[in-house]
Amino acid sequence: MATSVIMPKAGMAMERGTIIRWLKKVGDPVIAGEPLLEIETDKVAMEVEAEVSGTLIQVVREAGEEVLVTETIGFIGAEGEAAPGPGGSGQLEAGAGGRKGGVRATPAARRRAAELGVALEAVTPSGRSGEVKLRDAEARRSPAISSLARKIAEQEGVDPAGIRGSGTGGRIVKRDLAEALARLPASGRALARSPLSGPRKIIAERMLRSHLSIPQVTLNARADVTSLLRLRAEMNREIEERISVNDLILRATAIALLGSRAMLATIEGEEIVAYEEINLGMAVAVDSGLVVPVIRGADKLALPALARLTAELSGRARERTLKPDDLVGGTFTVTNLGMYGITSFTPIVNPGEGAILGVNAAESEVRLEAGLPVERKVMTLSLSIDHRVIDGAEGARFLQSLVGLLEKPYRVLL
Amino acid sequence: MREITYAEAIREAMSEEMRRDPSVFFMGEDIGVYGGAFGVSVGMIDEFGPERVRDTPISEAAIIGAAAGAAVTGSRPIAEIQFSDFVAIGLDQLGNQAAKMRYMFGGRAQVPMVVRAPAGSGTGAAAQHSQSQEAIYCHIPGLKVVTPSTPYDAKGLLKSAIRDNNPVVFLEQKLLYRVKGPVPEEEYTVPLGRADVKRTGRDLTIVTWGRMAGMCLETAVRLAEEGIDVEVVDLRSLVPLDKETVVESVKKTGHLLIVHEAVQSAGYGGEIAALVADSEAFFYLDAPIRRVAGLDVPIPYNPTLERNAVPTPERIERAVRDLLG
Repeated sequence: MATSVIMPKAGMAMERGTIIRWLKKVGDPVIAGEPLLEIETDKVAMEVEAEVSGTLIQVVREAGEEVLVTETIGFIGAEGEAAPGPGGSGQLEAGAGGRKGGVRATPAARRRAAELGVALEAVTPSGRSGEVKLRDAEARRSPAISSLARKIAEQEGVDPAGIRGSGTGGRIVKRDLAEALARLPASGRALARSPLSGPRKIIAERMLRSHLSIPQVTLNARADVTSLLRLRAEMNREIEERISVNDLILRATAIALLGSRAMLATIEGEEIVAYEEINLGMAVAVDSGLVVPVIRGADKLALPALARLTAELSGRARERTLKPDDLVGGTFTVTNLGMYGITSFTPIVNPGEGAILGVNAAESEVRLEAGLPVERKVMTLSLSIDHRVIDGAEGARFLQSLVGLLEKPYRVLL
Repeated sequence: MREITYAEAIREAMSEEMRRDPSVFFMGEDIGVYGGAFGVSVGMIDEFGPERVRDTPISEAAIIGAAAGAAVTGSRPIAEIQFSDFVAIGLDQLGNQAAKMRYMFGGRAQVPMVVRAPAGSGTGAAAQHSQSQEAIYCHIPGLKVVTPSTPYDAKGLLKSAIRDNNPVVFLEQKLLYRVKGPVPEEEYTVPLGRADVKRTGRDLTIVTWGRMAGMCLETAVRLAEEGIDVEVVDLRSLVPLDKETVVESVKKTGHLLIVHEAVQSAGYGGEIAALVADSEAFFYLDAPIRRVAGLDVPIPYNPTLERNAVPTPERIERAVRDLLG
């Protein structure tokens, strides 16, 4: 009896996931606990392990497909066992039924699309259950085009809708495409086009939302971190945990926030929300973009514990094993571009939070002390605030207290 | 044009046909001196006398059976059943005798009779006096089934039903008896089997009949203020069915909502949905076919529950918006 592989519900808020790739092919043996496929949600990418041992006998949902949680996406059975066909289980049928014939479309949309020579796959559906409606088919009167020309257009990333066809009845043929391509400026030709999806889509939506709905102002302050860096070097010689500059800044930020609760606020609709917890989002760059795992109750963590947690979270971020629940609940974010030598930038407030701290590289400068030139390490801190709910003076006071902590680093150890 | 009530239109149809054709007669419970439970036949006994306006015992089987016998032997009886719910008592006479005779005698017998019966809820008459059971009669080959929604249609359809040489179940709407509408004084008939587009529209087709036609029209007028253009097709007769009008309307609008007062499950609305799904109109559908119909419960006595056991303007409007979403 085959066991179904389902789209797991990896977090409380997860409703659907996208299959990135199957790590096993149909016919491959699988062992319980072995990674079977990679999925991504709107927040995180992760591996799904096989629940049972056996042979992967059927893949129901392919890479690239978005699937509701708990829906069957494949089957593990005995070697040589026949895959349960559609209808083998009610769940499978329900899942696959909508896909029969490819695209979900109303009869009217199908008829009209055929009349207009529109490929239903190319139409953006607007129906309540994701179906292509008549209006959608009519909105996309894609031109008649030969299959060769269509293929070239796809390869070159050219929209055939803008090309005048010279074939019978205005049909677009290969030569039209060649002419159209020749007219294109070389710089304007797309190298590749891919759907905006997964983490990139989420990043894009959140950044745009922040940019459009939050008036932001960035305040820059400089902190002399000479002692801080010296302290870090000494600590790392003495204790087991490796303390990063970022850990020290996270710790200082958590302490500074205790005295600047105005930073922990946002606007939801007609309400101002003041957060109780100091949950620090920690921006981590990964291959697929950016993830921001959250350190909950950061003010309650002593430096070694904080360092262990940040190491674990950034490791899991790079291994794509973060769970959706690791990514929610932040009340303030710290983003660090110092390792790239960046000396100042304007971070964008994470929607749902009131402020974000940008951390820059520590630079050497010469300062005069008692008339003598000395080398100091100075770091710029770039704080962006939601100016609707946080005033400039409040942001400045927070930065001031943060600079104070960083310049007298024993205070971050208290 | 003059306006008369639905009940008066029915009385006029019967009286005119009785004047026109001496073989037409009328029988039923309390239809004579009392003028019928809903006053439809007030005064008819004075004009036509007790031979042609005959009070009967309370026996629906006898009324329908006698009508079938009279019809097959050359008369054109109109039988009134006081509440359509009680046609069930005469259902053997109607469905197993009257409906079958033409076929079983190889076409050498004809059964020109009309069973008039008030149907529907809304009068606080509870579960046994409020049903809409047209689907039962539609399911018996050999019967014609008529459900007029206006005084004009009631008069014209009843005259056609009386002149028809087959048994016709003529389902009147209790709540419409007092409703007035324009009816010409000159002679006219409305043919059986022809639907009436009560309102033309381009966005969505409502197929309906009986009392619901008026409710659908009011909803359509209200929605028109928002630019939602609903076509209301009143079937008028369910058997024979004007398939062409339904199919053409759905081809035009691409959306079909069926509204009937009868309970939804196994209702005649399902037949309309299947007709469209199996027609050229299928390829024009831009949304699923939806029904707004009575709930699958006996009609409650409580007036609020009674009102909500059958379609309401709110439910119809919601369904229209939903289908066009």
